[in-house]
Amino acid sequence: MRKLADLFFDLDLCMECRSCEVACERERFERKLEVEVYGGVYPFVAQCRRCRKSPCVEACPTGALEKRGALVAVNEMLCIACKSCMIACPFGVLEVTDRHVVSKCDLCLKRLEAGEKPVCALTCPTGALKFGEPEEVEAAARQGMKGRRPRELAGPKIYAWRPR
Amino acid sequence: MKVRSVCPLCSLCCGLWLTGEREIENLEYDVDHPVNGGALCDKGNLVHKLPYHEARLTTPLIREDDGYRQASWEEALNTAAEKLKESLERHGPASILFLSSGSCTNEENFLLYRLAEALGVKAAPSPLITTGLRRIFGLEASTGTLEGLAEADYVLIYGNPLEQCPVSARYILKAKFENAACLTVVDVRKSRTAWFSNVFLQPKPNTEMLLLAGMLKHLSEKELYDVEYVEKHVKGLKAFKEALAKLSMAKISEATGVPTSAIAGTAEGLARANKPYILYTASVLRHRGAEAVEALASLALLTCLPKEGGGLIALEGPPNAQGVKDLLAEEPKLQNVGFLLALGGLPPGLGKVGFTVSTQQFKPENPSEGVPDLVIPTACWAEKEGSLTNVDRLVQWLERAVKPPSNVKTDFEFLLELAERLGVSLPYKKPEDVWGDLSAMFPAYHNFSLELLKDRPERWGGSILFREKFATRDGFARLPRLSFKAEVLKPDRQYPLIAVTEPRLFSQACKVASSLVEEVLGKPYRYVEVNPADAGELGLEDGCLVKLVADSGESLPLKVLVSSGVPSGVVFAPDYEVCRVRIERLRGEEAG
Repeated sequence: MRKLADLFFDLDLCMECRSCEVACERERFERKLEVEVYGGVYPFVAQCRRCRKSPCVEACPTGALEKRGALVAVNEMLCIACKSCMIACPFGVLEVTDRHVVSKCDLCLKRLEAGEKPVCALTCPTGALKFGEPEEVEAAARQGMKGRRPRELAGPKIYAWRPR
Repeated sequence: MKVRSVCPLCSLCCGLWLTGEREIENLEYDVDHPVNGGALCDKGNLVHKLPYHEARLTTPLIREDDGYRQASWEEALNTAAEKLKESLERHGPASILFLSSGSCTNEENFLLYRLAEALGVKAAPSPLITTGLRRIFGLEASTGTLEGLAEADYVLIYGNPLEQCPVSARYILKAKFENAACLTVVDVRKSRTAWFSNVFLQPKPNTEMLLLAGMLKHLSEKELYDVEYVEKHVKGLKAFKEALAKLSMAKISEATGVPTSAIAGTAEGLARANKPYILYTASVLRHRGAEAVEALASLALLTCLPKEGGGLIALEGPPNAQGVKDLLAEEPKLQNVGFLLALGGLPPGLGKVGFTVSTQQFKPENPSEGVPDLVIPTACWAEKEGSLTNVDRLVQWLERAVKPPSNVKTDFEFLLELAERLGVSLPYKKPEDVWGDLSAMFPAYHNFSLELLKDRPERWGGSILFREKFATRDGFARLPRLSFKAEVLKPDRQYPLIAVTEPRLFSQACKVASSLVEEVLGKPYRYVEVNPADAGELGLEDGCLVKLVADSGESLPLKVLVSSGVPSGVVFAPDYEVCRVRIERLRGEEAG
């Protein structure tokens, strides 16, 4: 397992097909990420941001949440569903499930340990979700800079008919 | 168990692994696959559930007045054989039609053709598959490849590949972002593909054909094409130019609503680019059918094909559409059919047919969508083996992962047993036996041995199919005679809106997979998209249930999606038709 590897999201490439959500549901039986669209323009994959100082871990009274390298994993045996972590999380990505344990993305920890990538990064048809080391991902993103404009300017030049 | 498999939902044929103990339990991404490199779309992520879906058909069904009744295999096979013989004796071999399917393997379709040949009856590809390229190039196939598309510097897209075959985004967006290609999209609706476009041409409904005519006219008048190349390799230019000269650019611009400068600009962009690509999806079928295919092929012939690195891609629906076209490219005649045998489900829009037999993986659900008289349960893709040819002309061997349910046969076994009852002996026992004859008979498959194919996918025709020599008898490509007539729909008081559409459900398996996605994500796969202004006028909001009434009188309950993607006065419903409609809101009990 590579220490620095992380999940990156490139919003210019996202086409909101939500394949990542289906893949997550299939693999983990609970959706731990969600594609949200802000202002009708900016898609964003809402998912654990892996804060350097993790408020969720600090808020957890039982030690069910623990840091493993950059990521935070849940030990379900210890979770008492007190929702303290939900209050502490600045991004609102933690959730208590029907099974009365907190559910969060741990980048498919089991797969990472086996040297594989998380399912959302594997399934993404456009490459908007990328898993890798920051330098690697940045280099790949730079390659794709030629045809790129910021999302709000990237809209097409539309030649359309105006009815009535 | 970990078996290499191919996604059966669209013509990209993405690779994946099926895993599980005895049954298929899950899937794994095939990161080394040449088509998708592991990526799968939303539907593709749920294909492992298809074999065990509750809608699976597990016994033959015979239609009676008040619906279907279950039948034994013995009865089903005898009925099919008897009805076929009866039609043969009464009306002759011309009254019988066999339809191959894009959901079946090459081996199964080949067996169907051999059976038809032995009986002296007609066989044809399913009408769901677009044809038209053969009249121009002499062969029905995409000239370029997806990798070529990713390297292009100008891409003209006709249709909506990002929603019909989402994994194609890998190639289209690579061209746009890494090669800074100009992406021009032609569509009535601002689709997901159009979000990423640099130039978006939005013609009025049903006038896409005229837009193409405008581009062709500009090219031919300004002689922007490679004159030397066209002289050497193309016939029919004079008549083609004459037909175009009769059109007026101003009228085209008025009818389509797209300014002349944009039409001319697109044509010039295509002509000036070094590696231009044209991609069209199965949407063309819904509009002008074969004529639109021919117009797009002519555009490619004048702009893309003369250049190294240019090409045309026909992104079809069904997974083995290219394989079907490779084996037989004849267009089906659906009139005066007394007995019809359709593999993989009945196609819509059939006329009156005496007796219909269809093989299906899932139960027939909606009586309006063509009801076969006899339904044969058939194995799904993971339960059979054979070869599939994708849009890239990439031939892959499909491995069998599990056995079919106890009372279900593969199409291959069904055809063999039917042949036996008809007194025809075919010298094959399993799909592998067919390959020798199949590859000997069809030049495209000459070079592949079965061992090689099982090891890794093989492409026929190389990365560029024709540049110098076409597959016609004299080696020349032919420009078609086109009428360029646009039937502009005029809404009236009774039907104030125009419906436009695109096909998304290419097979029953696609439909079931879409319903599984709907369960997970809650996004409906059948809906009607309405412009906010129209929605306000009609008092509709997101998610409310309406009845879409077509001018033919047919009505369909659908969920509303309010979106500014469609212009006002137009509604969009996937897998519908192009017609005039009105929308009626369903309330209370009706909606329930």
